[in-house]
Amino acid sequence: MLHHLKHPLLATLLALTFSGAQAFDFNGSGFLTLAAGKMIRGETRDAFFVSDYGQGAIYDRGHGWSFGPDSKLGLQGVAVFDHDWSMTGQIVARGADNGQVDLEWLYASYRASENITLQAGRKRLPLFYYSESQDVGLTLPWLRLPPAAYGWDVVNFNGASVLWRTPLGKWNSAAEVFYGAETRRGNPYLDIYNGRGADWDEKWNNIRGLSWTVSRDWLELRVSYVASGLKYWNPRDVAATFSKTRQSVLSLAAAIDLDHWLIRAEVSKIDRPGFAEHDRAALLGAGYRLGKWLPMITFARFHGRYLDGTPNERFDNLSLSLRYDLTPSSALKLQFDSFKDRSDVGITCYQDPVTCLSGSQRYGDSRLLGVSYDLVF
Amino acid sequence: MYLKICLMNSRFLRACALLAALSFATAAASATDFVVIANPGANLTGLSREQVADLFLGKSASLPGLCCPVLIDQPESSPLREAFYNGVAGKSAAQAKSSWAKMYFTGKGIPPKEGKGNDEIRAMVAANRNMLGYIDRSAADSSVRIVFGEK
Repeated sequence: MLHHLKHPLLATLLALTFSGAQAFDFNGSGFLTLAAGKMIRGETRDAFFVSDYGQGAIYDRGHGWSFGPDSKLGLQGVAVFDHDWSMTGQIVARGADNGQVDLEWLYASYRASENITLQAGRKRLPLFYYSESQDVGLTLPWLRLPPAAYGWDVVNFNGASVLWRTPLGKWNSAAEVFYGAETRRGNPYLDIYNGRGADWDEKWNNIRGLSWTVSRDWLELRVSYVASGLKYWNPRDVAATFSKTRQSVLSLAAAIDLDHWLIRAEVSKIDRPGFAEHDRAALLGAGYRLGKWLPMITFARFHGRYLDGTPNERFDNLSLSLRYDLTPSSALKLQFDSFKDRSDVGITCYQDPVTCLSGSQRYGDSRLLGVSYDLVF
Repeated sequence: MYLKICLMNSRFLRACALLAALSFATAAASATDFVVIANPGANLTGLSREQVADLFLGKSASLPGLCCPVLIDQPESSPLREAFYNGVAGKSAAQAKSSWAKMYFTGKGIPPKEGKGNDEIRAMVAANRNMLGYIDRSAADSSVRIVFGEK
């Protein structure tokens, strides 16, 4: 539990938070998603649907209705020391992780001026438009983020960031630069490819990135670029399994919110030249808001392309979702997903970890039905 | 329903038109007649609809003459809250809450505090130079300054 706290920087930050308990205002809040989903059709007995790559959250045919993959409870505490200094911590317990509690955010924040905020500690990595609020179901029009566009292996980092917000003519601009590193031991993402219980470790070092969002009235545009070093290894045999490369992640996104129409569009490009890996992902969703109802149709595609003969990973996902706002702080959602797997055989050995040497199956086509209740408090 | 009857039966046309106009006017007066208020000591005069919308949706965090105002919302159950977000931003209170949740849980902003109603929000704003809130027009008095919605 809270294994990330072994990090000395975080331990220091936490100690700072709880020292001098008289000297600050403390605000507690949180969010909850209770979700149930069922694979209603699978191409094969072994077909599985990944709902959240970063957490290894999976639906498969072997289970009926599953509550685990998309359910989560987050608690956030903010200690405000004075007008400009604050400390924020956020822990999330997930069904996907058998209720294990992870520390997702723990950072000190300093408002250096009216427009500039400095933050240091543990944060979510802002790879894509919704990456940072991925766990907060109420902030999403869907039951879950489209896995094709948000399926990545590292979702946090320890480091520092500078956020600069300013008006630009009639636009509002928010630019953030950040630097840091992240090590994930027993990365559940790698279990998807290397087999259940494979427990590979991964490190992103020298993470440096920039994200820039401009908005005006009904339009929001975002661009981000992240580069880092990347290392994988199996701790049981580091010498034989260690590999490394550098990588870059580019994302372009547009969000349109008119009186009734809602459009979400995002494309991303991920390159890992040392692994001959060049990935592309895209999503396009359109919804029509009718009072408290938001029906939406969303198409998402992922294409993981390898130039060295490694099997290619390609899939499309079509979602039909319906959101109903119960109150400003809570919503009900119903979602149907149709997943088409166009991958080469051999991309994953998730269901077959014992005999798997270099990958043995595809995901398989599947259809999924899900319902959820989202709340912030 | 009465509109349907009006269309079907021309004898009631005049009465129906009057009824429709009356109910429309009543709804407008009770649900949408809000004003945005500031402390009289703050260096603020009139705000534009865009300025109010940007502040209450978290798109901007300051105003000329007032760095970093603390915003006060009506309670979630208040019809004035729905009317306010609809009126200034064309959004529902749920959309506003959703975008604040995105900012709050990602360290990008602090959402408005929630007041208990017109009287408390007016008292809070009257006592704090950096607070901004919105209340029913009929609840505004000389302890606060109207900075948006003045007739």
